[in-house]
Amino acid sequence: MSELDEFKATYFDECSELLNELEEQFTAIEEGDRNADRLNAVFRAIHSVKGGAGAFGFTGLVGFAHEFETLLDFVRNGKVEMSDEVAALCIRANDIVADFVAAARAGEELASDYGAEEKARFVALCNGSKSDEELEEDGEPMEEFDIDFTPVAVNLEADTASETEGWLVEFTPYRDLYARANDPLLLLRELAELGDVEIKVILKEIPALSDFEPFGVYCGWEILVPGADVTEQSVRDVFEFVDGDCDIKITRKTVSEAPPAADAGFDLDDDDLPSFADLANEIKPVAKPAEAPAQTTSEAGDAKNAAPVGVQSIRVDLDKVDRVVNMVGELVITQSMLTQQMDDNLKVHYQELVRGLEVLAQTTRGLQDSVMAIRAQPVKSVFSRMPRLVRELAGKTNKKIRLEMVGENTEIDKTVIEQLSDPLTHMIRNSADHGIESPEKRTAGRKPETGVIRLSAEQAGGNILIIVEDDGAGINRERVLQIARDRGVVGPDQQMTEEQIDNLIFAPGFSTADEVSDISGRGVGMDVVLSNIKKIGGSVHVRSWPGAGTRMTLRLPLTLAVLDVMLVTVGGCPYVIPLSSIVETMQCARADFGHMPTGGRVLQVRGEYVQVVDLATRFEMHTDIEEKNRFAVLCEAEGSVKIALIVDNIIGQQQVVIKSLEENFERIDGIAGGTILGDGNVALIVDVQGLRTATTHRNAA
Amino acid sequence: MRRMRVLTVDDSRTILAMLHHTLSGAGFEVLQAEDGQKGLEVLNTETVDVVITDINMPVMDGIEFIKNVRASGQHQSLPILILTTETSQEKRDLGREAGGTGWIVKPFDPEKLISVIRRVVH
Repeated sequence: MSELDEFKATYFDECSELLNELEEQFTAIEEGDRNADRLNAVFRAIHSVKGGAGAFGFTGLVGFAHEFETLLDFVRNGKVEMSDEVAALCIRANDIVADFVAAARAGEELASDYGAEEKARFVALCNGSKSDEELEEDGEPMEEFDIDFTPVAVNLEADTASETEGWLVEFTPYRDLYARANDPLLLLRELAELGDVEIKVILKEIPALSDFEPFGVYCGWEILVPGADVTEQSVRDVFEFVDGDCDIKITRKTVSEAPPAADAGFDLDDDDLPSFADLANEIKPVAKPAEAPAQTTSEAGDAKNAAPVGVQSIRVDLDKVDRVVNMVGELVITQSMLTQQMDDNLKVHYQELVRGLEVLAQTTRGLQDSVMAIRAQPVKSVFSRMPRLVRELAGKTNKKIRLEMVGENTEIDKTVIEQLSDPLTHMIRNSADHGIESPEKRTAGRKPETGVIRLSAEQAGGNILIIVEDDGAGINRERVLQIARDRGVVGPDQQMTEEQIDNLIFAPGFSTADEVSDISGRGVGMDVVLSNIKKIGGSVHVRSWPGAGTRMTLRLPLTLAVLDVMLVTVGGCPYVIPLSSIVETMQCARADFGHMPTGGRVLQVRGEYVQVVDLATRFEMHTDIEEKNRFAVLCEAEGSVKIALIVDNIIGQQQVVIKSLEENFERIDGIAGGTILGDGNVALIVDVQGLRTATTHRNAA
Repeated sequence: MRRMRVLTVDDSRTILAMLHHTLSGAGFEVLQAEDGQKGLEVLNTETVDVVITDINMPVMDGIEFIKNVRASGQHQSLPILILTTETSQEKRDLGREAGGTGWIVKPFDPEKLISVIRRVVH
């Protein structure tokens, strides 16, 4: 990554934070909270976006942000009132800024007139706030942003410039020059860089040493800058910062001509004049001692004040954290390997070692939790993008929708958060687009005109639940089932519970069905939701109440890296089953098996029939173990649907570090990934949900 | 010779990162703070040769920051450059009145930035 790319990455990161903050602020402003702090924060955020954009030459963004910022400046100064209308304009403008940023990030250009309408309104609002007189004075009310700081030079003598052989600079500082930490010495030094300068000091009244003030001004200078190629501007530039803090006169001079300073009539001979350096040395020691003692005392005195204030934080590349996470993963493996190798015989003889291993196990666990906490982030960063989406959708569909958000501060692993944006967008879009009815329809159905979409996040054990709920029309089950049958997703005679029908919208082959989106309103983009969520080890579950609404629940792991599992063997090979999906285990000899009319095997558990999958058959492994000695592991997949997995042996529970199969090999149905066991063997992680879906479809077909 | 130390005060991480890159590339030692308040804290404990500060910042803005630095009495000859997107004379005058030494307009040109610093630092 080049340096520029790195800066850009920082900038875009910063922008998304700023835009999220703006979204929040504007939502509050829209609701009527318009205090000065909020307006200042909004102004600063736009200002920062503009500042960075300028550095990378995103001119469209700079132009728009500049006008927006000007308006915000007027608002915070009270020159323009933040009316509801202005608030609405700002919210739209914020969306436009977000679009500009997104385009810049993608390396694209937006149309040159993008946001022109809003920009024109900013200008109109700002101009409207000024009197005509003020406008006239301003001449150009909307200042160009990217003018250079060099004052525009009007060189009246440009036509004769070639004759110029040098400049005579008469320079007398005022006291204020020192007060702003400017220093004539530096100015003279800089002039000296323009050429072989002649410097003369002009002494004014030199007081007695006792009356000498460190910041007093007791002299001026005349400097002759030779060189025909030296422009007046370059001379003026030197004095740019002290303009107003000194008398400065720059006149054209030919070097051969004696500078007027010589005949200016002060009676010291040139030779007797202190040299520029001497003078500087004379002045400096006076200034410094006065300052130095003060500094020493205060340094000592302020040392205790320098203690950190509030929570301090640093920014770290995610890569670095990932490396630590990986290493902690390896540590977990090593630790569990050591524990496994500790046989009873050793335990008796090396009690110290046993204790040490226990402490190691504890510390490892703590370390792991801490590292995971580093990557945790509030879901706010994703949630905050949703109000805009809902606003847009409501506008497009002519519906009234209110978005409620709960639990924005719930934290999830950053890698999970990044994967959350697309699924959430699709879910919200579905709710707004198809779930919520038109105001007329709602009124007819005796519902409030404004539909509500509720987005919430909460932690539930080792999982995070993200729920998108709406009070819309619900799923049209008849149509969904009809289409599922037509497409062969469900067998003609297969009976489905309401819940199973609702969940059909995620079934493969269903998501592309346009009819579904037209009629039942669900289905578009649900494949994206399901595949994205599965990728990060989560699950999606939908439940709908006709006429009353729909609820979609995302269940996500807190972290992607470490999994609590049960280690089993099948055909002599180790497999692991995520502990979170296991309900119970039993020996096959004691299990109550039966057969379905379609030929599939089922297990009866407390009056409920559960599909059976023999992992040996499924993974084409050979096993010598008698059926009665094998084990059934009862697992729960999405939507409380259970499945029984038959394995040869159950070894025990442990933690494993998940390694992606896709990254290292390729995707395999029924396998969620791999892991390295304590003894160095590789075990595959069973994908319970995948096995269930595959079985359902096989049975259905 | 001791390396020259620059304190940069800005609430934009992007600008801080770019300043850091440019300045450390030119051989300066760079200290950073994200607002005026933090900038003052740094000045309380560290000795720096020059300060570059933004104007628009949360908690304590650049103008307040400069006023505070000058008011402390111990940093009267510390050059403070104002880094700003503002180009209006009015804003510059505000900065100068507070005690700012000079200014740099964002986006800054690295070479110009260095030369401006050299202009105000011994």
